[in-house]
Amino acid sequence: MLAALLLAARLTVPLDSTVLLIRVLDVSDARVGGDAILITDAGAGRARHVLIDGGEHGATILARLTRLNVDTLAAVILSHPHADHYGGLGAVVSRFPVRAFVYGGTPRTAVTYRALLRALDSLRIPVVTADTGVRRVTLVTGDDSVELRLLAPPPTCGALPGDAGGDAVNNCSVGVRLTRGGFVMLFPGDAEQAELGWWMLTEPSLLRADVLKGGHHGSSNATSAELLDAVQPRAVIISANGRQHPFASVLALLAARGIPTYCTADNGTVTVRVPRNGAWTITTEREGKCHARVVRN
Amino acid sequence: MPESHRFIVDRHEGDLAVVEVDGGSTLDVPRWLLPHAARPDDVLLVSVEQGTDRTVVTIVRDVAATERARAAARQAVDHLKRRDPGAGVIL
Repeated sequence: MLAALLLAARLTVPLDSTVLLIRVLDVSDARVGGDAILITDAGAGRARHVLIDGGEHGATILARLTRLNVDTLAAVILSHPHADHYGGLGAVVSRFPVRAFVYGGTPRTAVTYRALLRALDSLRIPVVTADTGVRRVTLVTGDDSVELRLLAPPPTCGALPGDAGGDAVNNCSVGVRLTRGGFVMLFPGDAEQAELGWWMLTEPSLLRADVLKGGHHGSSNATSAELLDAVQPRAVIISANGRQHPFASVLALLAARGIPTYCTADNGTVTVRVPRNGAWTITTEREGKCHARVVRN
Repeated sequence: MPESHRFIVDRHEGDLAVVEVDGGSTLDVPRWLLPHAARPDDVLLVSVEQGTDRTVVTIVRDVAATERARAAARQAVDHLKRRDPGAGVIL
C-alpha cells in the first residue's frame, strides 16, 4: 500500500513551471507495448502536453495519461504507422481534445489505422504531414520555448531496404528533435539503418543530442556505432515493446561506451526533467538494469 | 461450414508476423504459418474448418482486397494532406 502511494506520488509529482518533463511511458502490457512518450511543458501557467506515439492498446495509454492528469493534448505526433505505435491513438483522439496531429503520411491498409485517419478527419483535427524537409512544432511561453523539429523521412523511404525482420514502414519514421535551452533529445521512431544513414548524410547537425530515445525498441538495426558517433548521447532510453526487445548486442554496445541506459521494461516509466536553468536529470519508476530479450546481432 | 477471418499484415518482427485480426487487435503468428509471398499491408483470408481431431486452416492472399485497401488508404492520406496548415505549428 505504501509502495503504491509512493509510486503514485512519483508519477503525479506537482509540476514545477520551470521544468520540462519528458516521460517515456511504460506501456508494456502482456507482451504487447510499443512507444508512448509524454512531453509536458508547464511554463504557460498550466500544463501543455505533447504525445509522441500511443502504444498499442487504447486502454493502457488512456490509463497512463489520466493518471498524469492530462486533459488535453497540444499535439500528437505519430512516428510511423505500426500498430505498437498508433494502436492506442484512436482512443486518445476520441477522449482528449487534440490541437494538432503530426505524422508522415504513410498509407497503411490496416482497418484500425484507416479508422484513426477517419477520426482525425471527422474531429477536424489539423493534420501536419511531415513528409518533406524539416518542420517545427513549437511551444512558446514568453521568452522560453520548447521546439520540436520534425525530421522527415527520405522521399523514397518506402523503397529503402529493411534489415531482416524490419520493413519499409520503419524507414518512413518521422524523427523528432526536442530542444529546450541547451538541452536536446532525439526521438528517431523506429528508423532503421537506411533512414538513419540518410539523416546522418543530410541533417548531421540535427542528430547530436544529450539524450537518445533508442530507436526501434533497442533493435540492432536502429542503434549502431556510427549513429552513436553522430548523436553522442549522454543517456539512452529504450522503450521495449515486450516482444523481443532490446537486443543484447545493443545493450553491449551502449555498455562498452559507458552510456547510461534505461529500459521501460525494467525501469517502468523513465522521466527526464529539464529545468530552465541547471542540469537535466533522469529518474525511473523502478530501479533495475536493462535486460536483453533477444540474444543475437 | 468453415469459419472465416481476415488478417492484415502489420509488420514482421524477426520470425513473427504481427497481423491485425478482423479489423481489431493484433496477433503474433509465426511467419511460416503465412504464405511465403505475404508482405506488410497484405489482406489474408483465413478459412478454418474445425473438426474433432483435425482442424484445417487455409490462409490465402487476397490480392483484390489488398488493392482496394491500398487505394482507400492512399485516398485517406491524400485527403488529410489537403488539410495541412502548412509551415510550422506554434502552440
